[in-house]
Amino acid sequence: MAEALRGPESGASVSDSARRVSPAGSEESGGLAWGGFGIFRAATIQRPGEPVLALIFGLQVLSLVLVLMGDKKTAAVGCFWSSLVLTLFWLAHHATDSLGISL
Amino acid sequence: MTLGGQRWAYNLNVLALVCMLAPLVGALAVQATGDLPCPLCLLERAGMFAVIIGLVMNLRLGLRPAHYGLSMAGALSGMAIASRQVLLHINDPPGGGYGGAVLGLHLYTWALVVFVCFLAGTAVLLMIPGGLGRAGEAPAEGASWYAHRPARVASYAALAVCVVNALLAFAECGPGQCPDDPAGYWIFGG
Repeated sequence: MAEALRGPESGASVSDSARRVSPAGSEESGGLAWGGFGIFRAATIQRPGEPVLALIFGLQVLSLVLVLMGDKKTAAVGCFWSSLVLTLFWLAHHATDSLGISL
Repeated sequence: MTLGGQRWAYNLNVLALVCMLAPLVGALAVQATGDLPCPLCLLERAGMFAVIIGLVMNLRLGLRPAHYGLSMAGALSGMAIASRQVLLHINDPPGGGYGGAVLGLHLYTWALVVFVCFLAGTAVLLMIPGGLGRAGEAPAEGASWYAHRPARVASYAALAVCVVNALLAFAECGPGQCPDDPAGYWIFGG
């Protein structure tokens, strides 16, 4: 089992090899994971049924600042996805509210 | 051919950013006249800023398919929100829609037009031969952040508009839910 996890180079595990390779899109996927955490935090900050619009815009401002800094792409993508999911949550809240369902 | 394609795509990204900023500045001007935006109107702005973030990523960090993808995700969410508001208007013709009209169309209808135009424009942008950069590759001359003053000016203008919008949204809605038909700013007790 241990041999199966070895990479092509002697003494290097698969995870070691993977760490050295930085595949295209790794920042985006890292940002998505970071965004997942952000969404969780934002959802716990918000009171149920009261999505905060200012929070969405705040996350967008933060995302833009991080992009303009030039070396914080993962965090910027995370803020982007957090704000986008909260936007869609707001839309779902608005749509279900008019149907008499409290989300 | 490739370098020319990148320059073209970069300039078109700057143009798209300016075109996306124009309705936002217009919406802020309408707000300055006392016509407060409804929650759905604010969400449409959020969709436009999501588009802008992807465009600024293209300008600052290089032209990448993932950045276009982020912008398109923002445009699709904005389109869903604007469509809902247009359908609400269609469902309630005597109501006359929310807010005033600009050139015969309400702002949410304009928002829908802007999002559809952006998606069509992005389809064209993605078809430009050699219009995408590769990770780790130096950008073409005239298609990089430090060599393109209009890109920097437009990006910082986008940040300024985003900050003003965030402050106004907080002033209007506060830390809670925004009323469906806001009569005044929360911060002034409205």
